[in-house]
Amino acid sequence: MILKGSYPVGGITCAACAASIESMLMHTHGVKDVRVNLVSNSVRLEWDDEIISLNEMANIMARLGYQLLESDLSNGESVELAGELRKTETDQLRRRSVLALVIASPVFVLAMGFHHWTIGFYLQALLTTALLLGPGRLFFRNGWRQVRFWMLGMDTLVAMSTATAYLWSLFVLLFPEIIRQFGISGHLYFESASVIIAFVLIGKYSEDRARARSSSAITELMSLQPDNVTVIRNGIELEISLNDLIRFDRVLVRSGDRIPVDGRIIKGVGIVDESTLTGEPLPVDKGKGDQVSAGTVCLNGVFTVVSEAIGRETKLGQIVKLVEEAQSSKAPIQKLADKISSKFVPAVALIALSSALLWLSFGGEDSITRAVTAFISVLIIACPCALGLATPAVITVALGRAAREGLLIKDAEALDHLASVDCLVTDKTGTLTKGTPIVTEYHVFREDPHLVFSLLVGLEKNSNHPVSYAIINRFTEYADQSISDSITGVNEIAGSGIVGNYNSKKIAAFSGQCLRNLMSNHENNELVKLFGYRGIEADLAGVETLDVLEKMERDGSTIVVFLMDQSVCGLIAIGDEVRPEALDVMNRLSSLGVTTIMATGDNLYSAERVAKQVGIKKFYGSMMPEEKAVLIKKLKNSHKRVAMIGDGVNDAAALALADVSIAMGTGADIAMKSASVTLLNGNLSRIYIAVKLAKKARLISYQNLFWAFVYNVILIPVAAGALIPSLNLEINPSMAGLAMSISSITVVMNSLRLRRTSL
Amino acid sequence: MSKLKFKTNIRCGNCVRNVSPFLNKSVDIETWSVDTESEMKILTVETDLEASEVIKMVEEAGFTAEVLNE
Repeated sequence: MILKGSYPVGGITCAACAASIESMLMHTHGVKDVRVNLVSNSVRLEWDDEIISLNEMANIMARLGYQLLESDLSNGESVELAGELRKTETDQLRRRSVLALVIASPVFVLAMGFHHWTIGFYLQALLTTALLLGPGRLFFRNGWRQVRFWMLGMDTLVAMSTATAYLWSLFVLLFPEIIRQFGISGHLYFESASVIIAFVLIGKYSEDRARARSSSAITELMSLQPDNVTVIRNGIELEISLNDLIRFDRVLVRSGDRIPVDGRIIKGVGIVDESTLTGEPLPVDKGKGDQVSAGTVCLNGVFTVVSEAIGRETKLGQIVKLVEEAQSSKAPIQKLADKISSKFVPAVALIALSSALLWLSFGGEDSITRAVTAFISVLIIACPCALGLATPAVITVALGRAAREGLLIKDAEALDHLASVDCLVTDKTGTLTKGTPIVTEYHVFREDPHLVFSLLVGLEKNSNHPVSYAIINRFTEYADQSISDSITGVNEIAGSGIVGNYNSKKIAAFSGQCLRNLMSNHENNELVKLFGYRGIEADLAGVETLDVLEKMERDGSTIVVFLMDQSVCGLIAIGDEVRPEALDVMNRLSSLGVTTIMATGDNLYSAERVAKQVGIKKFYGSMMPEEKAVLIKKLKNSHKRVAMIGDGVNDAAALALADVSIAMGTGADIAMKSASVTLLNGNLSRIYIAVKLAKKARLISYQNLFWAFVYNVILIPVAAGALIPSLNLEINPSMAGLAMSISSITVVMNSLRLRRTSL
Repeated sequence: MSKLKFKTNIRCGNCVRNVSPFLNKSVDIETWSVDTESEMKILTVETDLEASEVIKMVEEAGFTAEVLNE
């Protein structure tokens, strides 16, 4: 039988690790598919369990040096475990790089300043030994693994050059007689070894942090499912863990509970906040037969749900899967660095070796030293460790600058893509609009409107519904307090509305849909029973009332109907206010050549209304999460880089597919954590700044790449001693180390420019 | 909503587990329970459905049921 699942893996430090795991397992009999997710440090496996078992695959990976946790990531527990594992690894890396820096600094100082202090030499040796055996150990471990499986990477290079520099320096230090005998000039290169290790470790740590930040998003998404649920089995209420739930189990959901499954309500009613999935702030009334989704919250009410989809099968679970897959296909730019290294390393080793041999044969005097120096120098100068710094340096500075500008940018790739954005898709609610409902329009069908206002306020005071707040905010100033206070018998009916009594008349406020249900005079109509109404006569304003209702709905608002006894006395439209800066930003982006498009889960009418207000020409309404994702895919084919602004988990899948995902800081935390860019304070105007910053950062990172790479490559022949015969220009390992430091420092200084540059 | 009672061969916990999905998934059954202690393994159902429809569901699950007249 073919099994599949996602499992956390420990010990992954770079793209080469991922590549070696994938190639090793793919060549194992019985394994159908292997995909390593560098962002969450997990692997997705598909295998035939009649040929091979999960345990056996774990053993194979252990031999490579990676620990597979055999608990599927589809349940919340192992996601937590994976998160902890990751955090431990990141902490370890941080400690190593700090330690390395602390040890390397004195070595550097000693080597530069104390040229004739013998004890200083021994100190250098001691410190460097500590460095290599301590924090530097991982290079030798990884380097060995990489050599064994022919997946040579940066680690191999670092290991080779530092080992050679170290051993040679040790030899020179401990056997001065032999040195003198052969006429070798006794230079020490301890500081080269130390400095390289420190810099490369810092680079690895920066990369790891960038990756770790995005994986926390998955953990959060899964935490939207509660750990324990109340089920009704054989008529008895039981509390069980979410993992023990089986399909068709009946789950009891109470006020304040997070709904744990996708399913239909078979008993009870409630008000549900679906904003995590739809981004819509207005809660939805749910009753018997209605669908509810995992991850949403029951604000008020009690109901029983029959579970139709659990865990990974739920809409929420599907979104998590989409986000994970999108993330695993987006490896950081370091992957490029390692790819370069794998071609580069053998070539460099060859050059180093051949130049050493050349010197040995034709070097004449002091040929051994010349050979050794050439060998080490070439290795060191070719070591693309500044490559490890080049991008993280720009990221760090750009991030800091962005934060000061009210932007949270995730990584270098996001920056790079931002620079080439030519299409922007935005969500409506909470993004272009403020996300807080207000009264947009109202009609009163009585001669004494202030009575209507007073009664409405009096009723809505008793509810926590956002619609109630909107009404209270709007009408309180017109309301007569004494009238509002004289309402009796107020009863909020979850899922429908509020009723009360005033002067022996029955008053009620509820949704437009409810009104229609009441009017259809359905026999078993719960509402009829609850409200005690037999039928509504809209005769105070005639058939026109229904027309007005329809028109208001077509404008795309939620309608609240106010009734006194059996007459409709008022219709209030509740809508969402558009952000004031929206129009300006959309126009500015258009002038930059960015096509702006709106895609919302709300109906087409409300989409049109807002689109016109912000100057967006193309808009889509009633979009399901999957449809938004499909739209993004389509746009990616016709545009260079597609950016998407979203809010809420319903946008998560589409956001993960977009080249640049932008989340509003006022929206769902999930969108924020997994988004490439977050606009803090929900200020749309920052998008424009983000693009400008990105363009500048891109320029600087190209410059950095030059200093980190090209510059070193040009110097390789010089390091090999090519210029010695002609110009007597040589580069010894210390100078090579210095050149390396220069390239690293240049990279850092260049990146710092981004702090002050005007945007 | 009426309360229907049936005599069944749903004998133990395992049987209850097997019949559960079939009864649970119906939106028209509000509540149900089987008293496995009783001699006749009485299934009590709160529903608007006809008795015959409930019996069909039980049979789909692989068990038998007949209306219990009290």
